[in-house]
Amino acid sequence: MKNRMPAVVAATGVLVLTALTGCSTSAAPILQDVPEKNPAQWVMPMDQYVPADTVASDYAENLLVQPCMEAAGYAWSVPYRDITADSGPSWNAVQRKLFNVDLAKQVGYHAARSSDSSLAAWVDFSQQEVSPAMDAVLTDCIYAAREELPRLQSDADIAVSLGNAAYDAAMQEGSVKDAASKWAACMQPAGVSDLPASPSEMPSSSLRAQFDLDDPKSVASPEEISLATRDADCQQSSGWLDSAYEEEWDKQLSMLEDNADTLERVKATIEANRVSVYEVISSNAPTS
Amino acid sequence: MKRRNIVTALSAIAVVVGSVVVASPASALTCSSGSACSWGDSQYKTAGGEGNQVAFRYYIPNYSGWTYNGNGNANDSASSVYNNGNTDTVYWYDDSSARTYAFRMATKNGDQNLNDALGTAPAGHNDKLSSGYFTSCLSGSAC
Repeated sequence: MKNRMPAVVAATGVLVLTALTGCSTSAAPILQDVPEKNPAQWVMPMDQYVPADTVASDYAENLLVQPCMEAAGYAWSVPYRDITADSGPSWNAVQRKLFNVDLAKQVGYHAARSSDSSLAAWVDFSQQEVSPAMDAVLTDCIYAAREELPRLQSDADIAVSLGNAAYDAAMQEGSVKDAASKWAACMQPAGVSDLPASPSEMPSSSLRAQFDLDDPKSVASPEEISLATRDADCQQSSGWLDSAYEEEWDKQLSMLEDNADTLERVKATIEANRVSVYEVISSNAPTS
Repeated sequence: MKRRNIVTALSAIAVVVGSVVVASPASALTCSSGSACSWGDSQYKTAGGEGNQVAFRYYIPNYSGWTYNGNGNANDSASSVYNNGNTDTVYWYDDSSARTYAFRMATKNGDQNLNDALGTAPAGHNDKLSSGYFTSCLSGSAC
C-alpha cells in the first residue's frame, strides 16, 4: 500500500499530462533515434517518418500492371529501375531541394543531374503515348495492382504535414527574420529588382524568367551561377542558413515529442509497405 | 462498367478508413492521359469549366507563369488536382522552389476539393500550390 499509492498518483499524473498536452508517453525512446544535425543535407528530426520509397513503389506497381496489360493485348514493358539510386545532389533523402554554395557554383538555381543510369529509359517508358482505350485498361490494371499492393494513404504523410508546419513557424521566428534582413542587405548590390524579403523566396520571378528556370532543358549561365553563388554566400554570412535550420530543427523536435505515438504507428505502416514493395520488385523485376 | 465498380468499391472503403476518395472517371477524361492537372475550383473545374486547367507531363516549377485557360493565375490558387500520369507519382509543392513537398499523389488518383480534409491530399494546401513534379523529373534535367 505504501508503494502503490505513489505509483497510482504518478500514473494518473502522466495520464492528465498526456491529456492536457497531447504528448506521447513513449517520447523518450523516440528521441534517442533522432538523427544528428546535418545542415548540409538539411536533415530534420522527423525525416525518419517520411515515406521515401516513391520510386520503388511506382516501379513495383508497374511490374504488377505489366501482366495485366499484356493479358489485355497491350505491351507494357517495364524497364529495369535502379531503386538504390538517389535523385542527385540537389535533393536530400526526403526529396527536399537543397541550396548551398557548392551547388550554386555548379548549377546555379538549377538542379544537379542524377547519376541514375536507369532513369532515361524510365522517362521514355513514362512518356509513351497511351490511347483512350489503352488508358481505360491501364486504369483498371493499376487499381487491380493496388488490391495486391496497396499504396500508402495520405495519413502516412503526417510527418510531411507536421514538417511543413514546422517550417512555416520557423520562418516567422524573430531570429530568422532578422537574419533575412541582413541577407537582403548583403544581396542589395546585386540589383535584383524584385528581391524578396526572405531567401526562402528565391529565386524571384524576374530571376526565374531571366535564367529560364521554367524550361526543363535550360542550363545555368555564368550570370546565374554568379548570382546564385552570391545568394548562397549571403545566406551563410547573414546567419540566415544557421538560424533557419536551428529554428526548424527545434520546431520539428517539439512536434516529434507531441506526436510520437502517431508517428511510430505510421512508421510501422511505412515499413510494412516497404517490405511488400521490395518483395514485388524482387519477384518481378527484369535484370539490368 | 468494371472500372466504375472498382471505384465504387474503393469509395466505400474510403468511408470506412477515412483516408481515400477516388475521383470520378469523368474527371480523368478532362485531364489527358500522361498528365497531371490542377483547377482553380473544386470538382475539377475552374470558372465552371473542366477544360480550364493547368496540365503538365513532366513538371511545372512555378505555376505563376500559367493560367487556367485564361481564367486566373494558377499560382497559389489550385483547389482540385488529378494525377492522370501512367507510371509516376506526382509531388506537389506549396512553393516554387520545391523546398518541402505538400503531398504526393499516385497515378489515376485525384482530390476534388483541397479545401477539406477528405480525399487523397491532406488538408491545408488549398490555394497554396506553386509547383508540381512527376517523380522521374525530380532529377535535374532528366526530363
